[in-house]
Amino acid sequence: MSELVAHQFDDLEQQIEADTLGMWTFLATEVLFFGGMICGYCVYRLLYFTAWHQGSLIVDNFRWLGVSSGAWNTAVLLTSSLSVALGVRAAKMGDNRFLAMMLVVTLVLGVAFLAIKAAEYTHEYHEGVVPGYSLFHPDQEISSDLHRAAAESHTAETTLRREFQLFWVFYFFITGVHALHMVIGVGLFTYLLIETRRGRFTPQKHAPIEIMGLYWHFVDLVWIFLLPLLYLVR
Amino acid sequence: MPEEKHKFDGVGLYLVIYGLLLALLIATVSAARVDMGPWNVVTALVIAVVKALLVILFFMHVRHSSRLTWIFAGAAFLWLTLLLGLTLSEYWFRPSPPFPQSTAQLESATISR
Repeated sequence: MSELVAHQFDDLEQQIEADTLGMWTFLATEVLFFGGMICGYCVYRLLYFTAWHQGSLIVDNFRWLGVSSGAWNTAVLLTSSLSVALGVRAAKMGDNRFLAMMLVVTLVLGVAFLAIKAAEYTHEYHEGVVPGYSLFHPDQEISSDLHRAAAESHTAETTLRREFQLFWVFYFFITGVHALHMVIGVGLFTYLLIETRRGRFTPQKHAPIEIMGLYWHFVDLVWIFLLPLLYLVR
Repeated sequence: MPEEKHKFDGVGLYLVIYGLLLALLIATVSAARVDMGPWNVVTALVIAVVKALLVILFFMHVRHSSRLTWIFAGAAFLWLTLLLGLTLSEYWFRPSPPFPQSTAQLESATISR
């Protein structure tokens, strides 16, 4: 028992609560980190409506079976959240075989998310909106119909182009940082899988599974808001 | 130990929550294809909030967590609400003269879609 509970805690329950609370403290900072970016994105959506509309058209235009990649990726992440929840449950019950299986499923889904995201970035590269594109293709125009949009909204085309560029700054920052969180998540879960196979976790001692599960759900949570904001809302 | 038992959610419950989340995903994608004017944003965000609550309460086990965890999780979203609420109320409800988009323009842009 003394090995299980660190000496600063009264009992196991208090230790588990401290672990969870620590993770939530970190997640609170993450909420505001993503919240700041999303807030900026929303403000400029109100200010530069036409440019944001043109940007969303490109983002939402990468489809499979008529449904945009953003929606497919949401389904992938929601499924991975289910596998994480079932994995945490298995860890609590001491079913390490099932836990390892769920960790593998989560890893596969996490990599699938990143693969779909990479395909999206490739699509956006060919649309000419990825930073640095003009360095390699100096003569090529971006494929969006900014000329017409500028005329329709009575905005100077140079102004609209600048606003359109800002949309992509936000888009790549927000999705890029989110993807980075996914890469870190995949790394953490690989570690959890190795430790599970080594038999490190027991029903009494599985805090890493629990708190990294919280992290994974949080990354899913961010995407739940990115789907409407980046893809659906025009 | 009734409390210990209470901390285990059944597999069935997780599957129900997962089913609800997928149904809401389909709902939000379908709703985005119908032009409801300003209500598109409202619908999409309300669905996102409901999905988020399901994930937080059930998948992240906050409903079984201690009061202290509730306070920490709640504080994060309280500050987020302040950040978004105060900032957006400024930009949304106070169109000052240099504001580039008039309501009429916004409406014509929505219709021309």
